[in-house]
Amino acid sequence: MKRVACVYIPHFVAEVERQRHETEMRPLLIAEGERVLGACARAAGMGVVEGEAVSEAVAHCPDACVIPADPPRYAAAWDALVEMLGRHSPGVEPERWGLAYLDATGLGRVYGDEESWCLLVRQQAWGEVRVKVQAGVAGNKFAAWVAARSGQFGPGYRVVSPGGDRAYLASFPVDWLPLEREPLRRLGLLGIHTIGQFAALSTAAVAEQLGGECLPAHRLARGRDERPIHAQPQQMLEAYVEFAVPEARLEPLAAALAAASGRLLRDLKRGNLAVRRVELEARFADGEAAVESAWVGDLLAPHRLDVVLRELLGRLGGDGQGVMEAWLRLVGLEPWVGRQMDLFAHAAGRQRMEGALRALARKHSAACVVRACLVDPHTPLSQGHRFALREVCP
Amino acid sequence: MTNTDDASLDDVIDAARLRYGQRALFRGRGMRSPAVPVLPTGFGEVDDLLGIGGLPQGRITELVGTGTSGRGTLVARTLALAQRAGRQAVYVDLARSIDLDTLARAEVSFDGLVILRPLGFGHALEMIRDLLTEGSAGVIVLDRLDGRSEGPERPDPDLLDRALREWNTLLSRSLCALIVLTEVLSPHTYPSDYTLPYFASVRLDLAWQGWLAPAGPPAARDPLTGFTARVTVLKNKLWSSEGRSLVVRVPVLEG
Repeated sequence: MKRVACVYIPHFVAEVERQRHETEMRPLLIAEGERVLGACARAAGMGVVEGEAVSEAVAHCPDACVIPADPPRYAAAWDALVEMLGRHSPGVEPERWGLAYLDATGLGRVYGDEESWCLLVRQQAWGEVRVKVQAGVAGNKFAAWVAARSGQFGPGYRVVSPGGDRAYLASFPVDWLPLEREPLRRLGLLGIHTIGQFAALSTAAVAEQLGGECLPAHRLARGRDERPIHAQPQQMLEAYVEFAVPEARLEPLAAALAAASGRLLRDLKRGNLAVRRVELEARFADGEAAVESAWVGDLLAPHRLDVVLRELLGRLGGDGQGVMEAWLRLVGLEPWVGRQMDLFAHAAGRQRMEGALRALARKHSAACVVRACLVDPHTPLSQGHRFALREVCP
Repeated sequence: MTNTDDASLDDVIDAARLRYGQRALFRGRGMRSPAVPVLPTGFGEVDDLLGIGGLPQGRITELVGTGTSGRGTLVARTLALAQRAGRQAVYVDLARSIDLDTLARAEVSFDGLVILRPLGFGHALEMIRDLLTEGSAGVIVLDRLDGRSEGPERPDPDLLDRALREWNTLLSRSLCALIVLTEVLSPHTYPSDYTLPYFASVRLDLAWQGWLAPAGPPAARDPLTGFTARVTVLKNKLWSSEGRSLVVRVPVLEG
């Protein structure tokens, strides 16, 4: 049976900022320009809404501490969290900062039960990214999101038993459904306040009273959400090597890891994937463990992996202790072709650069800012007329 | 160490970092490779030698060497790869010696390349500062700082020092990689009054080693296929690879 997990961090940006401003007792407002990018739970409770003007937010929450936004920091934290989630699910769909859906089918058997999975994910998210996540597991995305959202009341996670989605949703307020303000107002007038009451209405009645655009929400209320998980490609490949006798010599270790990496390299080649980082974890005979990693940021050929492995093995140390087990991980996989063909993603940067160049040409003279162009590819080099330099118009 | 002690130490470290900054102190066992964004050089061995996968962004890299040491090819390939990653490339042609042919052969796109031709050393420093202040350049190459001349054309070390201090601050807020090419006869003759070695995060010395010719019996007019160059890491603040060196094959780039 299909199972979906939802990992939800209600005030993600504020949670990340809280790491830096741990001693700050006042409510946090994170401002990006004139707008509020994020607010902590206390500020949200006082009426601050993300996206509103900072001046309005401060009016709602006068004693708030306003912090300038640092989006790269939030993106890095989110990437780290998604990478961690990728280790616990075959498919992760990051919807936005603070919300991700995971394919949880069969995870219960792997982790003992789904509650154990939720606990582990919460612990690792706190250990690695220092954010408190709420987790929910159900039969579809909406029910999983509701379960995760309601996880704040209790242990931080909720597991909905298989087939029990509709019954579980019934008691939650109807405004948790994706409905516009007007249908919600009309439902209120009709005395319908819970998802269960809304689900009990017939489809024809919903279409007649609220319009056809409310039918998707009606299906969600009945526990029917067919949206699939659009998982990112697997973020990590892993190989495991176990040694019967602790191995401390470099050459046999490198050879064993190279042999184990054959499958990973084949998968990379088949998927034309580039690798960001190679990580090597080893457990030594004395029970100690060590992790080393190296940046690659490129396609990974066998000879290059060999160089990286030897470097990592050299740095592992271990005080002469032999290695009992080793895990080789290729982390941060991304399509190489996609990187090569990224033609339009940088248009904004190019436009900014053009503006900067015009300003530079105005300030320093147009003759100082030039571009090269190919005039005649067939001209011999000795004549020096293959290329020309053209000034940038100020 | 018990788990309780370990947790207490973690708390102390967190508190110290909160007060003095994230890079104030580290635990040895938790050290990872630095998460420094880099530009690959196109020479896999050099990237591996550096340990961080390429030339660091947001920092200054100095390439020291003479003519025919592979600096031009390394820079051209770096620019080409940076452009593929969507970075805007700027070449500050202070020496008026830009080799457009090498850049074209390394597949540098001229559409995304800007060449600055400053009127003098001070002017070059000012233009670079303006570019860094604006913040849209992804990689800037300064070609070149002359470490040989002793006459009036020699760059003013004080001017350079002031500029480097300013650039360092501006770079730390951006993802721009600043690559400075320095011309010296050998690392031992590097001008002692230049502070660039202090400000650069990565310094590489490149030296010509020998020519590469096609395999087989020698012929009278065999074309050379390239040359070998020794790359030595003079300084690397981001990885412990100082003093390491290797010989790379620098091929003649096909047109």
